Amino acid sequence: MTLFAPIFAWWLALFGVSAPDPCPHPVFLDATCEQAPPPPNQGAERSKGTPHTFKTRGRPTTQISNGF
Amino acid sequence: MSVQSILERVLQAVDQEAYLTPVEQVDGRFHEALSTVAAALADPSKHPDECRGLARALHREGRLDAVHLYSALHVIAASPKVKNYAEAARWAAEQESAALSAGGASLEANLASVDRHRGVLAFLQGHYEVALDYFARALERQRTPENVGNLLCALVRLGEIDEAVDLLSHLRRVLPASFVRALDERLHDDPDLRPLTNLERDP
Repeated sequence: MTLFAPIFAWWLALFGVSAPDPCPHPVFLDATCEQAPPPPNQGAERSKGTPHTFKTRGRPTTQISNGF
Repeated sequence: MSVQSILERVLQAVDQEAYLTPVEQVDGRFHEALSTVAAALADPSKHPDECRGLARALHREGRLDAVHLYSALHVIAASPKVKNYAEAARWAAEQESAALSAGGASLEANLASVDRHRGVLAFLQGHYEVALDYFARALERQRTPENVGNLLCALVRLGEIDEAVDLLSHLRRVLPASFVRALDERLHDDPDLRPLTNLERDP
């Protein structure tokens, strides 16, 4: 099987046919076809650096103290 | 009177309310004169030129020194009535020069005022990181509830809520009770900062 596969791919390429997808269907998946598991859910953490808007005035004004 | 002009007046009043000009931190010799300027600036019927004229008159009478005259002219230029930030920046530079010339025991407080003014200009133009830097310098030079409040405002605007809450909790532990009371008043009066006290209690 291991010897046959490259010869078969070369034979198909010779006739202009691309090699078949090594993982055409989940039933053929083996260790080499597995994808890395999705990262843990990071969306639950508060994203730092996102401007926080407590204002409810509906106007982009803001309270600031400019003491003499 | 059109609806638009009424709306403008309402928004002007909201802006004016959001622009605080306390005098508590000022050298006692100039406290009364600057209170007069602050009252004129808060009066909707007073034109900015009247406020400028008042500050200059107080300086001629010897009730304001050069440092505090330039500070007053900056506060007027940066106010919602004027919003001339380039003019406000020039007065802050004049104030710094006057403070360095005068020197003396008030130097640090006078330079803290300059840092605060520059921070406010950056804040009003949306440069919150620059504002944070100036407010931190102002606080290093002069530990006042006003300077802490401005620092917290900049942190909140940058989305650094956890840092703002941590800073607030730390200050509560290390600062005198009178300072914490004054800071709490500022927190209570400021809609941006009020939620921080809730986050302190319920992290």
